[in-house]
Amino acid sequence: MVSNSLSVYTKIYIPFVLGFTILFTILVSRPVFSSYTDREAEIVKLEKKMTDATEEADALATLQKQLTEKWDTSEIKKKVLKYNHPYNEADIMEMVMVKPPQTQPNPDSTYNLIVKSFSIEKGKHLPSGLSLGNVSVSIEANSVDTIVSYLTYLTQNSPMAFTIDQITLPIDTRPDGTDKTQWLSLTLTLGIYYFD
Amino acid sequence: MQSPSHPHESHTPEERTTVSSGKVSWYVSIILMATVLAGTIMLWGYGIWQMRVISSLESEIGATETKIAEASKDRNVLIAHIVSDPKKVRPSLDVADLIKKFRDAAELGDVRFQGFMIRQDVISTNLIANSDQYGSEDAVIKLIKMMRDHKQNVRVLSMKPVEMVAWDPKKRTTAIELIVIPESTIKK
Repeated sequence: MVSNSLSVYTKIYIPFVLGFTILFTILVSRPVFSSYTDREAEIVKLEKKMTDATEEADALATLQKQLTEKWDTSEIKKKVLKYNHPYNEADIMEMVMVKPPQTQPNPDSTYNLIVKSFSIEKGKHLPSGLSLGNVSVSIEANSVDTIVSYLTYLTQNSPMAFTIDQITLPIDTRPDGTDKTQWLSLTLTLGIYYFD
Repeated sequence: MQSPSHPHESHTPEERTTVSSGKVSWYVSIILMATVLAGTIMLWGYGIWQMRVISSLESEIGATETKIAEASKDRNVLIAHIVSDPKKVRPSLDVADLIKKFRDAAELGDVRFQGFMIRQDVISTNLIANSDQYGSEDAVIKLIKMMRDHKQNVRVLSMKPVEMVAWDPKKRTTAIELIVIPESTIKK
């Protein structure tokens, strides 16, 4: 009697239960598990995005407070104003060719540095929000030191943010009879940040 | 007297084995099915909780991005934020100060720097070392000392590995490349 009932279990119900389990696993459990892993990955991604966004919002709020409270006295004012200007060829040309003290004529109408040619292109918009233009100038100068002070003016003291892209200076820390009064000519490539 | 409620007692050992393995298979398949069902229900429930978390995170991110957009309307604040990140703007080189440091380093190390090229915040120059008038030691020792000193005192420039030294023991020359380190990442 028992033997008969058990054979019914083994012959009919057990394969049915196992088949149901396998089908359920394939059709239901697997998609549920797949959704679970996808959502877990999405949560991690969103948490990272949330952390970044919170940090950025906090940093902006702190800066906003600092700038509101002490804009006129803050160190960052000078730096910000270097970047906070639109692309304007006339302004940039003036800043490279006219404003630097090295390009001003001497009392005897001679020059220490002459900008022989100037070219500019708008460049590209950067992911940060700023844009970076390209300026290329050919210069002639009476010494390496004049060129160095010209570069220092552009990168440190000018009211615009210039970066040096490429320049080759004939500097020698132990020159062997080099004529220091010889005029030098070279090409200089600069980057100029602006905010449109 | 045998009781009908104890059927095992009326079976042979082979029959008892069949009965026992049949029961085990039955229970195993039931437990397996129950486990799969329970696991699936738990994952499904957890999935609902995950969707709530995602929805909550998305709304929080939306609110934070609105705050960022509001703060970014002030151009000065936005630019101050951009320029405070050294990865977002290239360093502006103080060339005069840099060349002075090169000259001082050359004098201190009794070597000669020749040529000075700046290209995308990488400075390239040639380093020349001469041995003393007696030629008592290889001039490369001066170059090695300079390289070691630089590595121990990196502040503004990081030196790329020097891969070649040429000439003879009385006069050694090598080309070096130095990368400008953004101001705010310099270790004080």
